[in-house]
Amino acid sequence: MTPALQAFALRQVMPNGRARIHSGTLTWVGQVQPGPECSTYELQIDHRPRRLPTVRVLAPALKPNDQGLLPHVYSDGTLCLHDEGEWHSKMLLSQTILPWASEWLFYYELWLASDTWFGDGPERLDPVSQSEILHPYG
Amino acid sequence: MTIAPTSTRPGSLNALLADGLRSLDITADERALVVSRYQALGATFDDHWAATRGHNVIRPQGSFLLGTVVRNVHRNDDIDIDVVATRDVDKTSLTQAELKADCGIAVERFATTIGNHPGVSECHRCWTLHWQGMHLDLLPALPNREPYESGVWITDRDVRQWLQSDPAGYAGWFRQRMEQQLLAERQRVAMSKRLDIEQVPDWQVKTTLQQAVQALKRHRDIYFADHLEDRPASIILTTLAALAYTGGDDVYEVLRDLTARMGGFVERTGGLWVVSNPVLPQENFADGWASNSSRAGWFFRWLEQATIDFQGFGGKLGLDFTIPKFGAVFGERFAKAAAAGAGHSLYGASTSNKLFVSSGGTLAAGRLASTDRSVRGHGFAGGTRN
Repeated sequence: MTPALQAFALRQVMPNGRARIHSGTLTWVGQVQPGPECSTYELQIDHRPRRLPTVRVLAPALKPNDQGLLPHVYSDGTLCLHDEGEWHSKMLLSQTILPWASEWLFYYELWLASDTWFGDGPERLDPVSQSEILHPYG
Repeated sequence: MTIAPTSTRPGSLNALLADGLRSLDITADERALVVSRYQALGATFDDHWAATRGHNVIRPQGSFLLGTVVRNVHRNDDIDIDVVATRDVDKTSLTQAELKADCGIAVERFATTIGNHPGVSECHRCWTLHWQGMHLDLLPALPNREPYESGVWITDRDVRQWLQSDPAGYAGWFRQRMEQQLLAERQRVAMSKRLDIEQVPDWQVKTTLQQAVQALKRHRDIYFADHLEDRPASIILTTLAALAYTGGDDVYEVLRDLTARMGGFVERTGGLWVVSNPVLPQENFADGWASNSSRAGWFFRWLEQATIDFQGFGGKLGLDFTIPKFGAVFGERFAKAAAAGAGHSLYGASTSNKLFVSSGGTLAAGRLASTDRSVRGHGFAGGTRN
């Protein structure tokens, strides 16, 4: 899937987003609201050729816990949205990475409210599983 | 115990409130236990009253019958159930005190013969059976077939006079106030489970009126936590809410509408505050406000606060704002259930391939618009990026 096609597909579903292609790298910035009572977040998706896309929350700033940890993030501050092999370059960002980021943000707000990450299912609500998903942020 | 709609926006105020309220409601298992217990109690009373040839009955009343049970926040979130034991004899044949004492004998006998041996205590006009997590108040009564077949005589708090009451008639009136919604809910559940509507009993669904009454009662219980004696009776909240109810399938909108209008149904007659029993107009549910004039003031102050609190839920975006607000207004049990309900709803939709996304990135459990797109299932990982 070419960057131009990815940008086109993103514009179809997120007309207010801004896509830029430079040296084969797609950078998209747009706003998502995961649920009717959720905050609106500004996201940046970067997709370089032959690399997995990355998603960063630009605003509002994410709030790690007192130990500086957040669930399911990489050490570079990007969101971890899928397991290995779940995404490949023939997939549209607009149908995968973008809604997956929305899901992440939905679970993130619940995590802020309840200290529980529900995104890994009901079998992973125990304290050990919950602590295993926390990673340093920022 | 109610069944969630098939297509919803996880995290909407309607869905969050419904999940929170479900955690305050009686569960299906608890309901079955209540039924088995009052049936067993009925068998003991049948035996005890074997000499009375009439139609002795033990029937649930109050919130269990109305579908508005709310766990008692002041008693460890236990379930309180009310039943009426009606002995089919004329009220000239025994005194109020004799009837109450007679019921007490049967209640004690029941408590010693049934497993788990519940504790027994006596209150002004009833007997209470105590199990772990559940309390059952038994109100002694005699039949009073005027003006309606369902009427009963109960004793006053001093056990000296007979008072008219009609809990079954009241339940019928309450049901009538939400009849269309009840039918629609049963139909929706029947369709989603491919059943006939007759196979979906009333208790398996919840209308927005029932949910709103539960929310009002819980709000009241927390608002009056430090002075329970001033709180308005559940029957007053239930009656005013039912009078103000005009339907609607979004409990948040219904709650806002009810709190804005229900105060207008309190009447002022001859210097007295009046909330009439709709099926026994001579009964004033607010008669206690006459002996304690501050009660009316407390009711209106509480109603104003409830109005502000309910409007406040939608005052700012962010589940991390709304859910803690629920905790402050309805308690931690409610807030946890609202969060868990939203999380499980989203996760369940994702794992069953029923998660959709709308323009703007808003998620839905089920397709709500033709332009919504299905979201592919996935897991989350994290740590160090290679």
